[in-house]
Amino acid sequence: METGVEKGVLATNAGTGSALTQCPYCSVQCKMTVEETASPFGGRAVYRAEGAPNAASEGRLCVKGKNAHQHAASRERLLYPLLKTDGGFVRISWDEAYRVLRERLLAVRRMHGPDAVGVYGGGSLTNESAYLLGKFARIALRTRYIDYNGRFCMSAAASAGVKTFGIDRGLTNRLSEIPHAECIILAGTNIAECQPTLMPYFTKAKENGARIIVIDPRTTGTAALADLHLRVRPGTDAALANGLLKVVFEEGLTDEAFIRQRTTGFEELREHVAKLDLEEIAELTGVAAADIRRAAIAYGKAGTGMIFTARGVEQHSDGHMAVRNFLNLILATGKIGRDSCGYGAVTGQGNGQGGREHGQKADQLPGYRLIENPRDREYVAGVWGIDPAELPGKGVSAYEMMKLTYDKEIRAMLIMGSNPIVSNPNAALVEEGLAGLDFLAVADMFLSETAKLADLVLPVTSYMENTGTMTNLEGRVLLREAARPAPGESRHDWRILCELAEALGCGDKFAFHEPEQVFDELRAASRGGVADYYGITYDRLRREEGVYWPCPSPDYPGTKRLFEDGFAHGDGRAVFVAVDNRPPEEEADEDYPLLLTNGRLLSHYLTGVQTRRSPALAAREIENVMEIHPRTARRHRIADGALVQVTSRRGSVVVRSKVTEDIREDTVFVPMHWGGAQNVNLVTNPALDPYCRMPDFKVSAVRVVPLGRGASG
Amino acid sequence: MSRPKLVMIGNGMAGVRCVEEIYALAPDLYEITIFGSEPRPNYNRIMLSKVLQGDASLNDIVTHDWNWYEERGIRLHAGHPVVRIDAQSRKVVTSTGMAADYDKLILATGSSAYIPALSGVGKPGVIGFRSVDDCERMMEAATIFRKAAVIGGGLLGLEAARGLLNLGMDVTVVHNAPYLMNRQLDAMSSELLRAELEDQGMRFLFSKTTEKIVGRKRAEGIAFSDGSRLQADLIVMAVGIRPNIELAKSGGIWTNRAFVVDGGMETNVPGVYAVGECAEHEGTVYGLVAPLFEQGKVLARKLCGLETEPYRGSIPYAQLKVSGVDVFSAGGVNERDSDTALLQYDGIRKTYKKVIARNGKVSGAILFGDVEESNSLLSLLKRGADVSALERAEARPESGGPSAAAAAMPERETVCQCNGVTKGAILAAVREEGLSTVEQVRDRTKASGSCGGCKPMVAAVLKLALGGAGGEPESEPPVCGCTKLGHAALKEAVAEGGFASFELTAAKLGWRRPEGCASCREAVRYYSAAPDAGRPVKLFIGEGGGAEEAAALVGAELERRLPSVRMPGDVRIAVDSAVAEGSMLLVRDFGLAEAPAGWEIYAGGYAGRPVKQAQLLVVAQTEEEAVEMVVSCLHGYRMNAFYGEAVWQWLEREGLTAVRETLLDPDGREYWLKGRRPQLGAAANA
Repeated sequence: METGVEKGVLATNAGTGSALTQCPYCSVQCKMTVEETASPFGGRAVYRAEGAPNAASEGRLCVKGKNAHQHAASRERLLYPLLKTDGGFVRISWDEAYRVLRERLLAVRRMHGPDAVGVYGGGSLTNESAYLLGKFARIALRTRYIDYNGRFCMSAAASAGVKTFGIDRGLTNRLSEIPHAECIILAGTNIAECQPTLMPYFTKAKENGARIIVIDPRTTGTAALADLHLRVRPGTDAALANGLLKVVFEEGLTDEAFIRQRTTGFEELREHVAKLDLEEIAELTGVAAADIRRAAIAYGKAGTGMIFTARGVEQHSDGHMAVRNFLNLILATGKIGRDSCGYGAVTGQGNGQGGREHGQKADQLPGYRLIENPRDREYVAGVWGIDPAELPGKGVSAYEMMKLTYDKEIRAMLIMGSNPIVSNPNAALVEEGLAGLDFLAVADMFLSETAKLADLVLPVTSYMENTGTMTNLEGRVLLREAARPAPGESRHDWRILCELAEALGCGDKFAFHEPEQVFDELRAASRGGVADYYGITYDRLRREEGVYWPCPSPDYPGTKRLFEDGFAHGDGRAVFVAVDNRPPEEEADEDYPLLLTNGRLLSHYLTGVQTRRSPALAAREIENVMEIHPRTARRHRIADGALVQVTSRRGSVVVRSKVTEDIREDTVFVPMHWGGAQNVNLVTNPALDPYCRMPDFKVSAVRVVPLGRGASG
Repeated sequence: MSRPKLVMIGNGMAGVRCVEEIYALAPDLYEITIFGSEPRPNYNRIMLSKVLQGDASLNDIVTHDWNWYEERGIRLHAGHPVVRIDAQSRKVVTSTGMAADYDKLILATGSSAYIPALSGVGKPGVIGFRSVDDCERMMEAATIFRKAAVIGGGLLGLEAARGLLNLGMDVTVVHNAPYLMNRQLDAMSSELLRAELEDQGMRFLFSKTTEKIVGRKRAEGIAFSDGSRLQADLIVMAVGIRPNIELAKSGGIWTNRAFVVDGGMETNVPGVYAVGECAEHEGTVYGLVAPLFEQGKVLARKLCGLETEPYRGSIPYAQLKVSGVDVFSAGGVNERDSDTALLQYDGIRKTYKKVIARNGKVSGAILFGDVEESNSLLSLLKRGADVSALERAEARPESGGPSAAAAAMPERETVCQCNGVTKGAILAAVREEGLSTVEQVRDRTKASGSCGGCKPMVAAVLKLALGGAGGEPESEPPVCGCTKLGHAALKEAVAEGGFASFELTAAKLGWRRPEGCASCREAVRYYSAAPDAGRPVKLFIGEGGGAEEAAALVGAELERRLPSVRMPGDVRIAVDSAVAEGSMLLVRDFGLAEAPAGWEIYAGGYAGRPVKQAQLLVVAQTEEEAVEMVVSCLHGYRMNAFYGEAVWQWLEREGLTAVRETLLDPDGREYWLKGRRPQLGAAANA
């Protein structure tokens, strides 16, 4: 198959020979230039990428970004709509594709009602596509069931931010303040591998004398930077935060004036923590009481400080409360709303932030509005030109949608920009559910593991071809313009939604021809909401190279630092909450004696659909591995490099062992970037957080057994 | 006001290093004049053996070219040997009639090969091994004569002998002691060395005392004191060095074996100093490079008026520069009142390690076969470390640390994963832009600029570049003694030239001997794609205990698709149902095994010496993909490996990641399958 993109078609900036674009991967959204270069293997278009100056990555680019052009130019790109016929895929036209979609979706709706059709999105979609996907589900399909993989990304931090501060923006202040913070706590975030271009902010802070405290069961590249590394037992972060709070209270390191003037609920927290025992916390978390004290005193005594959390804290069935307990610590010491103080939820996905603000989430409408709130419904219905009563109610979270699919309540699904059979917990059940659908349509660049199950596959454009906005982890909106034409017959996600809406008879609500038109409607729909984009325009984004939300009017500069004057709740106050100590959701026992946790590797992204198709990235990590401590490995007769079966109550995964002292003795680590037999989510636990419906990815009780070669002793 | 005049007699390594130090400390302090007896700028004499062995050209070993002197305003009179020092009027005079006044005088006259006063040593055909001239004479002789004898089985003698072997001569080393390098080695390591060198084709006569050189007009052989004789057309004297101290008399300088100096490198005559092989400090004359540099440093600081510790003598250490042999020796190894603190011998890998202690302190060391630890042992030695330090070093298997890893890393390997910076890129930046700190490397190349996790490795690569090893562009050793061309150059020249016969190739490419030898004839035939040139591929199916159905099918399909053309080296491919305990699969060049995630493809195993365990190359999803990957990789190896290079060597040279990148790229895989060579860049224009 040829990609249809020939040489010399790069939409280059005048005179430079190179085009400006933006890395599609993590939440930093590094700007980069791509230049066309001769392929060592023949006449196809290949590129060379260089970092371009921008305020977030300051011109840096990591190995993922350097090679992000490889998947876009891959010959495995899908170029035509494909219809499954007799078990194989057959090329069809777009007209045919829309005809099939209309017939099949309408048939399911006729038989089982509008809620029998589900829509599943992704955190890598542009704001424009994410916004339209939400609108499409509610207007064109009239289904309540829409959610997206961002649920797994940071719903715990998002809901904790909303409850505590009244707003959820990844960073409450700017990246550029990090080097001046006196103490930094990095909890469950491996920035060195997941957002490598941010590392210099932290190394600079350290050079400036900051104390850096890393909380992680593994000695990651990030932990190597730490002055103090708390090797916490997975799933006990909430208890560890209680320990920190206890020491802060005992040492009198609270900011009483801040607590009095700007918060509520402190006394309950103080009483609750007073009843806790530090030694018990040390026992539960596996972190020595003395280390908890050192960390608490370092953070408490520092004049300025920031706390960052990521999936290590958030992906638990108590992820919401665990994050809130770290926010308690921030509020108790008054370290927010001023220079070099604040909180950062380090989003993983490229548009993890923007993707959750505009209606892709089951309970939300654009601008972070709530679908259950009558005023919000009325406002958005007004923008969309419909009766508020026509808007469906709130649906369920990502994994719950998969359960409904398995239970055959959802009978048809449209998936856009996601690979749920690899990224959901309890993946075997999810695969069975999707395979059993009456109709599955998947819009993707590649024949991903999920796309292979589909009845209809729609080829979409890549980041190099699709113009749109992305909102990075700071809450800064960035415009990424297309750098080359779409290969083959691939189409933009937003355009597919418009054309499909037309096929379903509501094209008048989706009459967009340019992404900027979509963005302009998004601006209006978000106006007056929490995530207010109204003041942001394409022109401003081109001129100012990014604007922070909330930005209520075109002459407003954007909000660089939140909460300088007040919090976003009605009374302007932030809210404390008492959090219980809790053991991991699943404890190790005789049958499953180890805890499994998971995470990312430097050269891969999400389920690896893109990075495993990038030769330079795939070559660096060709297969999945399990990190295990040498003593544990000896105990379980596992040699370095041996294939190991890791089994939990849900299922098994087979990976290669990597014996390393960089992990706790009671824990093993398996990354998340592979599908099939190497998919760690065959093992992970779908227990959900009651507040945010985040699955407990990060801890599962497992046993490990060597396969064949390498059984030592 | 005019600056004081500093004159140096001698333009060798020790002296020039000293001047370099002076210039670095105080560039404007002296007006510097150097007299050299050889008509060329300073070169690295240590590397002469590399030139002789064909591993480097004369240009490669010049350390300071004419510009270097000129840019620093240093006057160099090369080819003007000083014959007289007038200590009274502070003046030196050359044989060519030049004269120069001095305020300070450095004697850096070095040494000459010691030619014992035997009958017949003056005959043509007898030479020392000391200078570029000697080197050129040997190379010339090798084009006319076949038989060479080297008198002296020490460091220099062996290096000369290896060079003569490379030049295609039959070489016999004559030694007066019962074993080789008896000053630096013990009997065991010396025996290992002899065995290795004999494998390389060197012959030895031990415990032989030379009585005279026989021959009519020119040397024709050696007569020994026991009455035996050895026929030889070229006789290289490598029995030792003699400091050049002829100037002592006119200068009134005290000598013993060499110019006698104090801790400040000053002779008995105030203002006259000596460094290097012509200096004798506390009864010792050093002939190895590190002590000479240490002396130069002390003298430079002293001449610049800076405070300095006096020179206190050096711990001698030596490394034999013979390709394919790694020998290291340091300190006293054969002293009476010492004990063996540690002794290790690995008969399979042929490695030997001995550490000697005196009064509980590390005092000497010998390494054979694996010299990775030479630096760490030397530092123990210099510190006079307690023997207990050895225990700590032994307990830590990775004691080599980043520096060993940096040295072992192929240049194409990525050091900084975040920014995708290779070792080669760092080396090039250091070399071309004269970087000297990790920060400079970071600013120039971005290596370690992101997560900073690779900082120790960047530092190690930087050190490697600054330390010289790897700092020089990797120069390619010649295919054999018949040609100067290395494999890469030969391969390209043959591809471009399209010569009809070996003789034509040899003639066009400047072979030293038109008929060539077995090595180069085969290589040329292979590179010219002669249909029967090259080595076969052998397939082993189910040797680990029977292949199940899938493996048998893969084996059969592989057999069907094996390239009909022959390979640069023997290739053995194993196919099995699983990687079973004790299976040969991991010591085959390629191995395929069925696994839960697909087909594992291993590459680079080797059952010979050294034994290599194969590495996991890729995991293929399906049988078809597995076969395609292996066949594609075979073609990659066929086109890109050098003749005689085993798969593991090719993988090490290319870098595992680089080979994976091509195989994992459907375009790259196809490219190899079609039999094209992306490395030559022809395709870029196709």
